[in-house]
Amino acid sequence: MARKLTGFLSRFYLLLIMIFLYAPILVMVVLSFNSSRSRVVWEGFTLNWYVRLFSNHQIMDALINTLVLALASAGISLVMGLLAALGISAMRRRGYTITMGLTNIPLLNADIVTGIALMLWFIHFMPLSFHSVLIAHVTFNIPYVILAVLPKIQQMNISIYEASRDLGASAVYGFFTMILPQLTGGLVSGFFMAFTMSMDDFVITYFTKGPGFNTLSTMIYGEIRKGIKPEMYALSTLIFVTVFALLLVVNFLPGRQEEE
Amino acid sequence: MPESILELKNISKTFDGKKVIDHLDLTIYKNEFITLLGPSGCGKSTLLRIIGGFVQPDEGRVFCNGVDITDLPPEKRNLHTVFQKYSLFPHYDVAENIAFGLKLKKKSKEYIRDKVKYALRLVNMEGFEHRKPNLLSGGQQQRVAIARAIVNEPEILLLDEPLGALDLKLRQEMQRELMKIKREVGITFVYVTHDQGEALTMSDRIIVMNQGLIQQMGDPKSIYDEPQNAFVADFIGESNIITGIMRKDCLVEIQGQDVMCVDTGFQKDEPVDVVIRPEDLSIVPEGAGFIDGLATDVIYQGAYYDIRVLADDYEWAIQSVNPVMCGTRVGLAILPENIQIMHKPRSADEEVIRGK
Repeated sequence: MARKLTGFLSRFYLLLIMIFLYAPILVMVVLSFNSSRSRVVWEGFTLNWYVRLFSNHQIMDALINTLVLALASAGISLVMGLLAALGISAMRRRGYTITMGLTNIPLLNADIVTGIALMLWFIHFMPLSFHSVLIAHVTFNIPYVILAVLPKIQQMNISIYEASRDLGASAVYGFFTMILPQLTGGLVSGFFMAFTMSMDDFVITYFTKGPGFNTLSTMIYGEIRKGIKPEMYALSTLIFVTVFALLLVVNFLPGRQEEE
Repeated sequence: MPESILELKNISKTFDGKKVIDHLDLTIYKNEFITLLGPSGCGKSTLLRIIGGFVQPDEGRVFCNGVDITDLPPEKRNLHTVFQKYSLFPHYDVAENIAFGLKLKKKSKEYIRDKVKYALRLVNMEGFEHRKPNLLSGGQQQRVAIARAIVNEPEILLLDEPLGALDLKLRQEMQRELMKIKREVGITFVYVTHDQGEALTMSDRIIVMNQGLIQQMGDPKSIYDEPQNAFVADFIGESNIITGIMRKDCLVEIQGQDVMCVDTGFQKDEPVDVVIRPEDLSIVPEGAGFIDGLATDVIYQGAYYDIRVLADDYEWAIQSVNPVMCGTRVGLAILPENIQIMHKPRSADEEVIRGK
């Protein structure tokens, strides 16, 4: 009897948490299909808001900006992060500890501090625009790539690289055929993590962007001040679905590879 | 005089302030099976990695056929390594593993196919072409690793404790196999191991190393029968090493008893180390040997009994085919030619240097 009760309670508790986490998002998703502008009354299903969303040039420009920014910053930080991780893994104990500490600071630092600091720095050297935002995003993305790749480097079997060199492979060929394939899992999750973080960012983007350049998050922020339109529900739903899908990929891809 | 193939001149290497190899000179000859033998941390693996090109020496040069190869990267050296850990490429099958070096040399498809086939037959692995390495046993993986190196026809094959991870029976089987392969391909083998049995079985020449220095080199029999210092005597097989006094040529005092030996050239009354192999001692009735003692421990080892005899605070190790009763008093006898006399080292430093 007591066991049944505790079982019920623990499942109920889990359910409460799930509701607390996902009900608001579910409400937003439902409202994005509501034919009324009302936020409380359901008046029937429509894809109208999605149509209007995609015909809105301002939103579409911001979407493209966001995707280009996320892809570019994730790509650049992937290469830089991989090189950094390779370097860090080769360091001795002392240098390793110091460098990893320095690497973690941008992760723990409040976004607003990073944002303001980067802005102050950038205005000395360049106009605030796409480029400044890109550099800012690369800056905060590199640590994520390092954190994803470093464990893979430490686990990898270096002796097969040495064996390939021994059998006549150059350092570059050995790296691409023996080392890189072992790091794929870490690189993929590092890339997607960086991509998601870039898509997700508002504060740092807001401070480092110039006038006239908008990502989705900064654009929505600007729109909200004029009043929320249901297109925003549709847009947010799409972003949620995208990020959710990416997270699924990040979580399941490395696991699948290890099973093979 | 055999032709030399590899020369190490004055090699030194320090890791984290610890001298791993200390001004080492070594010449390796064509077609010999040479073993670097020593306890872990003695510098033998580092020496092999210096020959292979994976570690740069701090000092000294490496010559192959008279050409200085010290600064060449591993891929430019005509020698190949069989690593201790099975370092097969996990994403390639057996045939692709073996073909790796040949493909890099841009050999023709037919040539590669024939060579892979030949190499697999050489290591007794025909029919395994399309297996993935993770489906092979440890012994099979090591065979493939050997085939993968040999197929490139290196002048020298470096083997870094290749049998270390195998069980005893498989190890003995692989030792025979390695000697067979060595005979068939007729190239120089440089073998690293800490297993003295392995070294004695396979080698033409053994280099005993400790603390980055060569302690002794020679053929297996001379290393075993005439160890030049207490370290070698102790490391190669079990030994009784006891302090004695050289009374005159061919007479040494051990535990207060004068015993005949065959060593000459020591000073009168010089303190010396006396080395006696356990299998050279025989158990005789009390009073019939050079010394008497109490049998304290008798362990059956299959082919012989491992017996300990306590005499004047020294515990003698004896291997005998005949058992004795534990707790009986017995005598120990020795033939003069089985006693090995060594100068005592004057200091701990000399202990390791004298081997040179």
